[in-house]
Amino acid sequence: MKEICVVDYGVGNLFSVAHALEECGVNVKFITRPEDILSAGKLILPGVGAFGDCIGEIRKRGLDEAIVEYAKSGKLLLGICVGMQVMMTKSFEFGEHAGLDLISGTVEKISPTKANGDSHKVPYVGWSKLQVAADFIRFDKVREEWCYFVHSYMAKPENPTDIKAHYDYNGQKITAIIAKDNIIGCQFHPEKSGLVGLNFLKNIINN
Amino acid sequence: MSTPRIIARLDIKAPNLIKGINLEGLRVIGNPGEYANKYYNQGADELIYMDIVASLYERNSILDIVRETAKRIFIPMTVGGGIRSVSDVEDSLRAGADKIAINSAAIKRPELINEIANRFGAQCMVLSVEAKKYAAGRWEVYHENGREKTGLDVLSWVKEAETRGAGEILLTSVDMEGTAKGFDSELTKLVANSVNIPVIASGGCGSLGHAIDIIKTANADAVALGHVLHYDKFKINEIKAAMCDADIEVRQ
Repeated sequence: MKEICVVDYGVGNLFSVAHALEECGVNVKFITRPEDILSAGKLILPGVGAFGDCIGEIRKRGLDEAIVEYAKSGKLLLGICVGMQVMMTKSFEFGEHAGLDLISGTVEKISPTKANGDSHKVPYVGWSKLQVAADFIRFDKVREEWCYFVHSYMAKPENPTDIKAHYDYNGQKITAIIAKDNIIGCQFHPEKSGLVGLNFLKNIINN
Repeated sequence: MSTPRIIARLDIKAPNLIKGINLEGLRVIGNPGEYANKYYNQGADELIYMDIVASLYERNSILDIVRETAKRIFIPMTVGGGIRSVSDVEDSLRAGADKIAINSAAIKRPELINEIANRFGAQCMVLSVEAKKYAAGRWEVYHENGREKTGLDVLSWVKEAETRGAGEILLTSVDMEGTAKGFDSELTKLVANSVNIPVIASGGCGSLGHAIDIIKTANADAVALGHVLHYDKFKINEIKAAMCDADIEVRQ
């Protein structure tokens, strides 16, 4: 059975992610040490809550350098939600925080106003339909890609081609997936996005 | 506003899925896990498990059901009933819940809303409101499944809860619940237009038209359905198809 390593750095509940991966037919191993990250075959970096707290925990545990080193190996790295955001250069959530800088760009607050100036709700919580870039083939295309999001901040890569999917929030394009070589990040929660989410995970693991 | 959600609401008297009328006269429907599975496969956007005896008898047996469900069902799950403290919330989240709903405990000690929102985020903190009409355009907050009055006015209570950090309102009409005669749209509209957080309309749905109307005319962000699903009056995919025909975009 295929194995996938999930970094456990003390934030959030990893069980939903683990159940979803098991449903995809892989063996899940939680890892906590830098050496386990370096020896992983496929790596998932989850994350919930505030950017500063997440990156702080990663650094405190000495995992930041190992993740950066691992990313150079060409093996799969998937960041989920804040786990994706910490792969960016820096974030402006509650101050300014440096990220892992695996993908150049910033993490910024979703605009609290619509294109026409009216206010709308932030955090955004709910299901949205993805617009997926033609060169990103990780969905089955058998149905529309509806995914579940819970967030107030979004990644803004410097290089627009690093954005592989977005959704529209009242006229604002919100980054949903970023990818560069072996590094993929998704803002939505694949473990809460029904069959679409499970298929996304399966395709990423098997690619 | 995000896409309207169709939520399956499962009221639990452990170990069974039950259903009442006006939240009383409870009848056993079956195994909650089997029903949860069925609604997941029909395309439910979310599940709500509401333990309807826990706040009376101080029990938390629902967590076993949540834990089992979380292994097979990959959509957001809200758990309510009997949650009295931050540590109860933690237990529910650890069992696999994404959000929790509180009612009685928030009435007794409104600061609990702040504590939960600060600790786990507003998106996790759902205020469950049982509303019963007492005068034209006025509703009173009830708890203990619509049995206990609180003297609180629904409108001022939901506004206070929003200020304290509630991220969502699960609004159940005690008058309409289980009657299949339609949601209390006047109540739903009043609350949805008074707060800036999502409002889930619950109680009374008996037809596809009821579900469409409450989204279109009362500005509800979501509908929670029990009766019509449990008794197989219609399936979630049928509701979604009907909503599409009514020009409401929903997740397919």
